[in-house]
Amino acid sequence: MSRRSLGTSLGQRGFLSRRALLRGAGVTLALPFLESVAPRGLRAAPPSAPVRLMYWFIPNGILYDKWIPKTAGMLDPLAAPESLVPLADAGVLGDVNILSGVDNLCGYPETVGDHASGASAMLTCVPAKKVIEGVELGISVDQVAAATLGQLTPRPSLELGMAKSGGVGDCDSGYACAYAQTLSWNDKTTPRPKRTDPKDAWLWLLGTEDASLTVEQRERMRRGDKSVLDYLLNEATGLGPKLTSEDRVKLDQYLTSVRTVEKQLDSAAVPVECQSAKPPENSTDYIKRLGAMMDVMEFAYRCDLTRVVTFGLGNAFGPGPMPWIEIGDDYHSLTHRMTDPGVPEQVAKCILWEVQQIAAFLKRLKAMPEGDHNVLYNTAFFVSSDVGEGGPHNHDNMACLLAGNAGGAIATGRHIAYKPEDPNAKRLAAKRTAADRAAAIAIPNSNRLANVHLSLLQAAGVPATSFADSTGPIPGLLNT
Amino acid sequence: MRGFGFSLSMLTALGLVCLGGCTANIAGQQQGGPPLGTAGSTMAAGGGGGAGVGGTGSTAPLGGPGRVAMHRLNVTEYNNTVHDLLGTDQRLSENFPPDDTAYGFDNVASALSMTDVTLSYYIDAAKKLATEALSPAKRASVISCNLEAGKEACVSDSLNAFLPKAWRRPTQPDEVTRLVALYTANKTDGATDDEAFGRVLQAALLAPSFLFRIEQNSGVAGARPLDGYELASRLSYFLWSSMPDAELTGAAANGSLSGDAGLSGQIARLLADNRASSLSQNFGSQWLTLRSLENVHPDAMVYGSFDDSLRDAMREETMRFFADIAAGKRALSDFLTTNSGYVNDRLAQHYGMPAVGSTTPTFTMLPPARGGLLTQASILTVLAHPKESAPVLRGKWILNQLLCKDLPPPPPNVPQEPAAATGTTRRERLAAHRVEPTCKACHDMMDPLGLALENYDGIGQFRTMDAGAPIDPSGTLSDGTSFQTPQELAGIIAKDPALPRCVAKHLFTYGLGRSLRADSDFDTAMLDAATQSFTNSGQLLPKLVEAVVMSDVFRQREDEAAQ
Repeated sequence: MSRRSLGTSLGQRGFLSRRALLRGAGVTLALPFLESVAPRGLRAAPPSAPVRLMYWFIPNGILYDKWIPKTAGMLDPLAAPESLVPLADAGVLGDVNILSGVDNLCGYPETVGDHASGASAMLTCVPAKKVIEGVELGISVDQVAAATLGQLTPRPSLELGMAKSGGVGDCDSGYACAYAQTLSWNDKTTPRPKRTDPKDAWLWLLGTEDASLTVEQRERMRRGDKSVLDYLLNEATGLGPKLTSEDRVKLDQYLTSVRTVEKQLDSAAVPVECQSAKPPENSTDYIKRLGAMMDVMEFAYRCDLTRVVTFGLGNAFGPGPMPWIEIGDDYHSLTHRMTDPGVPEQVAKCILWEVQQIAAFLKRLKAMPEGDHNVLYNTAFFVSSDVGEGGPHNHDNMACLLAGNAGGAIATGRHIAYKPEDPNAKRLAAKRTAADRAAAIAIPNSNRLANVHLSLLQAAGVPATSFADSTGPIPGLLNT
Repeated sequence: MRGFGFSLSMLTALGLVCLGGCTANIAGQQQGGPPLGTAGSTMAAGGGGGAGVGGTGSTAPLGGPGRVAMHRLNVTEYNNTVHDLLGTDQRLSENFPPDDTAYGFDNVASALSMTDVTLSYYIDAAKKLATEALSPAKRASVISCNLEAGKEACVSDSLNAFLPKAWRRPTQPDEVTRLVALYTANKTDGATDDEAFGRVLQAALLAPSFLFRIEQNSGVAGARPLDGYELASRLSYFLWSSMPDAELTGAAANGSLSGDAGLSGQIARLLADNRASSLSQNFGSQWLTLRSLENVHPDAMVYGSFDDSLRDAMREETMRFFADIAAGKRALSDFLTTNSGYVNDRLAQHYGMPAVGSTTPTFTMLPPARGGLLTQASILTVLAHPKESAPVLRGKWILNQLLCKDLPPPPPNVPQEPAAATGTTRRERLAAHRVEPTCKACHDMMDPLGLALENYDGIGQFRTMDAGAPIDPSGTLSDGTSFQTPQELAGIIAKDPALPRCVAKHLFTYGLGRSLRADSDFDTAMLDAATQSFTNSGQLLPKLVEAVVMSDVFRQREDEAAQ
C-alpha cells in the first residue's frame, strides 16, 4: 500500500466502528472512501482526511524584538525575525501564522506565581485558584477537542512532556505544583498526567492487543476487559453513599476514569500495518528523548491513533540548563537577568533552539503526504508559553505560533497583528489581584487567547460555539 | 529529567530577589525570643502566601480532628503494597505518572487525583500481577484449592482469604459474591478457569477498596475514633509506605490496636522492621529536598569533577545520617552539629580528606570544615545554581525546611539584579541589593544564613576565596546574635526551639497525608504536644513518630451527616 493510499484510507477509517473494522479485518483498509460511513453534519465539506490538533508548550516566553515581524501581512522568508529564521530554513514559514498581540489575561496570578498561573492558563484560559491543596482550574481545550475527535480514533488524546511532574514544595509562590506541571485538565479539579517516556507512550497508543490473536480471541479479550470495568463501575457506585461529600468528588474522578477507559474499548482499532511498528527507546539524554517523542507524535498522526496531542518542551521553569547548545545556566534564571552582559543573547539562543525543534517537527509532518496535501496541511498546530516575555512576566501579547491549514480552514504564511479594543483590560489585570483580573476578563476584547482556541476547535470540526472566556472566533484567522 | 519546578524556583531566578512583606515587624519580632525561631508562625510549609494555604480543602470543623481525603496509593505505596500482598518483585508503578506533591510531599491525599491516564497504568499493572500470581510458583498466595475441580466454591474460598488482605479490612459476603459472579460470567463467555480467575484478581486490584485508602463516613456528624483497620492502614502507610502485615491486622481485629499500649507496641514493632526504611526514603528525602539532587545539572565547565558517583556519595551521606536519626540512634540536633559522617572514597576526595579505603560510605570523623547537615555536599549542591553557589536559596531553605519560617513570595515586577561586576564578591553583590527597601526586610533574614555557607561552592567543595577576596562567613541575625563560622550558625539553629517544632510539622503532614490547618486550635494543640514530647526526649525522632501517631488528629476523624 502506498503512503498516499494509506493516508486516504486512514482518513475514513476512524469513522468505522471497531466492530465493523474487526469483522472485515485486513480488508477495510484497502477500500476506497466510503460516503456511507462519513460523518454528516460534522464539517461543512466532506473531509478528505482527518484534521488534527497539536498543542506545544515552550517555557519562559519569547523576546518580542526577535519574534514579532515588523509589519502585519505575509511572512517574508528573506526577512524573518531572528527567532523565526529556523522556520524559513526548514521551508515551513509559509505553513505558519504568527499572531501577535494576543492576550491571555487569565494567566495573571494573584500577586506572583506567574509561571504556574500562566502555564495552567495556556490551554484552559481560566485563572488558577491560588492554593497548594484543592486545585481549581478548568477543562483544557485539548480535552474539549478530545471529547469529539477522540471518538474517531483508538485513543482520544495523547499528552506528552519532556519533564516529569512531581517536585518539591509549592512549586510557585503558593500555586500548587499541578499548575506548573500540567497543561491538560480533564475538568475543573483534575489535572491530566502526561507521559514522559516515549516508548511507554508508543505502546499505550498501540494498546496491549496481541497481533497474533484471532479476531474471535480479541473480541473475547475485549469482553473480559469490559466485564472487569463494569464490575468496577458497580462497586464504586455502591461506595458513594458511604463517603463524605469530599470523597465523593474523588470517587467521581474514579468513575469518570473507568467510563473513559470503557469507551476506549469500543473505539476504532489500531490499523494492522501499524501494530508491529517498533517503538523508540526511552533515554535519559534530553535530545535523544526529544527525538523519540517526535517519533511518537508522528506515529500517532501517521497511523491516526489519536488526533489530539499536547506536548511540553519542559514544565514551567523548564527545561533547565541546555548544555546541548552550551547554555550551562538554568534557562529560566537567565530570563531574570536580562540586564547582565551577554544574557539576552543566551536567552535568544534558547528560544531559537526551541523554534528549531518546532521547525524540524513541522517539516516531518509536511513530508507525510495525505490525500491531496500532507499531514501538516491537515493539522492545526498551536505553540504558546506561560508568560509573554520571561523578564517582565506579562500575560498580554503571548507567543502564538500557529501552523498547518487545518484541512483547508486556515490560510497560512501570515503575520496577524491584534490589538485590544479596550487597552484598560491588560492594565487592570497587571495589578495582580483576583478582582482586577476578573474585571479585566469581563472586558470583551476580541484579542484573547480563548478566541484563538475556539477558532482552532472549529477549524478541526469540533462543534464548539464558545470556550472558556471566549467572545467568538478570533477575527481574521479562519477562511470564510 | 525532572523539571525545575521545586519550591525554590522563584528564587532561582535571581540568586537574589526582592521580597515584599517581610515587614520590620516580622523581621524584628524575635527580639527577646528565639534567634531565628518561629514558634508562633504560620503552619503552612512551603512558603506560600495565598488564600487557602495551610488548608486541606476540607470543610471539617476546625475544632475537631479533621479528616483525610480518600487516598489513592501513590507510586511508592503501590509498589510496596503489591510486593507485600503478592510477593512480586515487579516494580510496576515506576513508570506510572509521578504523583503531584503538596507541601513538599507526594503522599498528600488531596493532591493524589485519578484520571483515565493513571487508571490505564493501574490496569496494565493489574493484568501483569494477575498473570504472575497465577503462575505455578506464586499460585498458592492467591488460590487455596483446585480451581478446575472446585470452580465457584474454590473462587469463593480463595477470595475469603485474599480479599480482606488486599482491601485491608474485613469484607462482606456480597463483596465476594460479586467477584465470584465475575468469574462465572467470564467462564460462560468461554474463558478458561485461570483466565476467569485472572479477571477476578484484576478486578480486586483495581477496585476502589484496593487502589484507595478509604475511611468510610458513618453518616453521623462529629469526631469518631478510627476503627482498628483504618488505624492500622494509617500506621503502616506512615511508617512503611505499605499495607499492614498480618500481626498489625490481628491487632486491629482483636481491638488491642485501639488502646494506648497496643498502639504504642505496634509503633515500636513497625519502626524496628526493615520496612521502616521508607521513613528515610520518603519522609527524609522529601523533607530535606534531597530528591532534587537527581535533577541538578552543575555546569561541566565550572565543576568538571561532578559525576554520578559523586552524586550517589553525596546522597548516601545524608540519607545514612538521617536513617540513624530515624532509628533514634542520634538526636535531631546532632544533624546540625555532628563532626562525623558517612563518607566513601569519592566523597573523601571531594572533601579534601584522607581516603577511607572503601567505596561504601563509612562512618568517620570529618575535617574541621565539615560536619553537620549544612556542610554536606548533597544539600549544598541542591541549593546552588548550575555555575555558582546560591546563598539566597540556602538561606531560604534553612528558614523554610528547618525552621518553618515562611517568607512571603517576592513582589511582582522584581527589580533586576544589578549586573555582576567583575571582581565583586557575592557578599558585596547581596549587600548592594539589600539597600533596596523592598528587598531589605526579607533578605536581611535570608542572606546572612546563606552567606555563612559561602565557603562551600555550588557542589559543596570547600573554598576560602571568592572573586579574589577571602570569604567572610560571619554574620549577624536579625535579633543581633552574631556568629563567626558556619559551625557556629549550625549550633544556633540546633538550639532553636523552632527546629523540633518544624520537623514535627513536616512529619504531621507526611504522616497524615494532609497539612495541619493553620487556623485550627485543635491541630495546633496536637503540634504543640508532639513538639513537647519530642523535645523532652532529647529530640529522638522515634519519640516524635510515636507522638504523632498517638495524637487525636491521627487516631480520629471527623464524619459528616449522611445526605
